[in-house]
Parts: sequence; C-alpha cells; structure tokens
Amino acid sequence: MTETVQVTLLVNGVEHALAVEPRLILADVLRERMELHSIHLGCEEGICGACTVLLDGEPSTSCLILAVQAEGRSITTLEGLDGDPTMTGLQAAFHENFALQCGFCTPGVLVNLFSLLEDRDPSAPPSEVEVRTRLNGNLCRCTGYQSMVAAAMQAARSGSGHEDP
Amino acid sequence: MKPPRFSYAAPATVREATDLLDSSGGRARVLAGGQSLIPMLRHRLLEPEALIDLRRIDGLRDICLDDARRLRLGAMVTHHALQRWASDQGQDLLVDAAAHIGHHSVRAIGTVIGSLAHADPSAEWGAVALVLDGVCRVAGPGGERELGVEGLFTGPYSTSLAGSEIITSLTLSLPPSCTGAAFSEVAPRPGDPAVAGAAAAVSLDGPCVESARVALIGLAPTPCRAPSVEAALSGSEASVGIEAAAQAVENDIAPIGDIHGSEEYRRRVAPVVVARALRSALVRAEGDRP
Repeated sequence: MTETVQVTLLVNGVEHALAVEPRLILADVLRERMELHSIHLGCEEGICGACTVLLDGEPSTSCLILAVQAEGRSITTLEGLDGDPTMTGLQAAFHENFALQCGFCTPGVLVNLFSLLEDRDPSAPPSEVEVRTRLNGNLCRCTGYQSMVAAAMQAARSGSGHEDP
Repeated sequence: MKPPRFSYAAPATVREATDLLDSSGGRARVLAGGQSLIPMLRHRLLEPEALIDLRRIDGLRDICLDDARRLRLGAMVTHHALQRWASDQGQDLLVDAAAHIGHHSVRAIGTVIGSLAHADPSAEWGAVALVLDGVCRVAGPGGERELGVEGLFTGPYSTSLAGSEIITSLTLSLPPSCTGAAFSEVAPRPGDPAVAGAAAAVSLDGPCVESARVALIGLAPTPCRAPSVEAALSGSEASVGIEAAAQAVENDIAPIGDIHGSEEYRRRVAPVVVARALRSALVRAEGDRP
C-alpha cells in the first residue's frame, strides 16, 4: 500500500496539482513528472548543486526537499528563466568564456549565479570572492571554475553579460 | 538512495504536532528545513513511521528582540534569515558563525533550531547558543518547559528531548555593552563540517577581562563550554592573557580522530581556534567601549 497526498506546486509560474508519496523528492517530481530536464541529479545529498532551483527566489538544492514541503512556495528552474535578460547575459558570457565542458553541472551553476547577479547594479558587481563563495555550492569536475568565475564577473560588469569586442 | 516510506502530516498548531508525535510512540520525526534529516533518510540511517512538518504552524518564522536584548527565534527560522538579521543589526558572532554553515542553498532552507536538535558535535550554532546562554522553549504533550542549551546535548546526535517534544523557540542573550564576541573554525574547505571551532564573548573592565565565555565545537562528544579558558582569562590583562588562556583549552576537550582530523590534530588546533576567536572578540570589545 502506498499512501499519497495531494499537493499543488507552483513551478515556473504554473500551478500543478499532483498526488505524491510523502517521500517523493522535489527534484524527482521536476525531472521525471514535469520533464524539466535542466534538473540534473548528481550526488542526491545536497553537495553537488546540479539540481539547484530557486525556491521563493533563493537557490536551493531540490534533491534535499520533499515535494510536500514545497507546497505554497514558488519554484523556478532554469527553464523558467529562459529569456530573462540577466540569464541571457549570463549564458552569453558562459559561451564566450568557454565556461562549460561536459555541461552536467551547468544548469545548477547558472541558477545559482543568476540569483547572485539578479537585481544587481552593474556599477557595484559582486567581487571575485563573492562569486567563488557562491560557487561553493556547485561541483564541477571539468572546468576548474576559472572560466565560470570569469564569465560571472563579465556578466556582472556588463549588466547584460555581453561585452562588445 | 530514495528515502524510505513514511506518512506525513503538516499540522497547524504546536499542540497537534506534539499530539501526533506522542501517538506515534517515538516513531515519528519532526521536519523543519530537512537539511540534516533528508540526507539521513536518503542514507536510510533513519526509517521513521511519520514526519511531522512544522511549516504550517504560525509564528515559527519570527525573530524578535526584546528590551533586555534577548533574541527569540522560532523553530522555522532559517540560517539565512538569522544571518540577514544579524548582518543588519551588526551582531558579529552570529554573522561569523552563519558564514561557516554549509553553503548558500543549505542556509536558505536549513533552520537554526533544527541544527540544534540534530546535535551534531561540530555544528556552529551549538557553540553560539552556549556562549549566548541559549534557552530552548520545549513543547510536549504535558505542556511547555524551558531547557537551557547546556542541558540539551547528551552525546553525538543525541539530546535530552523526549520523542514527543519539539523545540518551538530559542532565546539567546545578546552580548551587553563593552563585550565583543566572535567565532572561528577550521574546516578542510569552506562549508565543510568544522574539524574544530570556538565561539567567544569577552567583557572588558578597563584593560582587564571582566568575564569571558568560550564554547567549542568538534572537540568533544557535544558542543561544550571551555571553563579552564574562561577561568584563565577572568581578571587577566586582556592583551597579554589570550595565548596562555587558549592553551588551557586542553583541559576542556575530549576529541576523537576521524576522517576529517586525527585526535592529535584536533588537540593542536583547539588552542588556535580559541585564540583566534578571543583575539577577534577582544578587538570588538575594545571598539564597543562607550
């Protein structure tokens, strides 16, 4: 016998009513049921950050949240930030700086850095230490982080993330 | 792994929550942020019959400061919420300690009181609560009681709480004037569990230490006070007494060796973190003179 509970999740601005087992993890709901494939599951214990989403605007590892816990809160995945000017700028800066290799960690990194850069005045960008401290929450085994830091700093300075040559 | 099966309830009142815990006969667990509990479930270290989620209970996210500088935090106050409050209010000890907890995502969801109740011997808030004379408000089926943080920890990941009890709030006595407070720790990487850490509050009377409170993490089966360090500092001339007082910490610790650090390493690093916390607290106390 599997007990299920009814929850309503607000994901990328759309409400979804679902019956879930209480033990169901938010990351699994987002990836498996809603097919939001930017949610990557690496460690599944809150260390690697590949499953990072925004929960009420704050970056959170969706592998350490039960779906039932997220009821009534706003969940934003990378898909929900598509076309956002800050995210577009950050993505362009990643492209220019070769800030990804295999790409597994990239969605989580982008969501985490987005929350650092959003609403930030380009004349007062985060310091390199702030960027690196924020990236504590993401493991990348390819890039060595240097190119990600460069991309984040470029995006922060230019506001739009794209610097004309 | 995926967590084991359990049933789930998110009651609207503390009373309902303690009743549910009571009726489970100790086989239910309280869920606040879940940043320690969910990893334990995923590793199948726990197989509770039910989780009782506190998220719907009113008032548990409140942070209140009274006229006597007592700070009361509800059970659902996140590390992040306290960090922001402390940063706005210039509460250095709380700001120092919060920065060492996990990384940004963990602090956004994990709770201060959840961390205390989890009773990890190397959790930062344990030392902070001991230095700031923390008192827990505990609700159970028989009503409410107060429990000093000194009486909370009984061993690694163990507390004196009954299975049907919930810590609903924590009250911290913020440092008075002419007092500086600080936190220092050593960890392999930022956000990793502390190998050793110390919280200190130093009150000055002229050039001398009027009183000092020091508490440690990662150096004993539970977070603990350092009475030898406190005694060595009391009445001493602050600027000359710190190094010698920090050495006295060897009488206050019972470290173990594990993958993060050997027993010998912890013995050597203990006076280092104590001295760092004391020096920083002293500078702040001097800056706090009227």
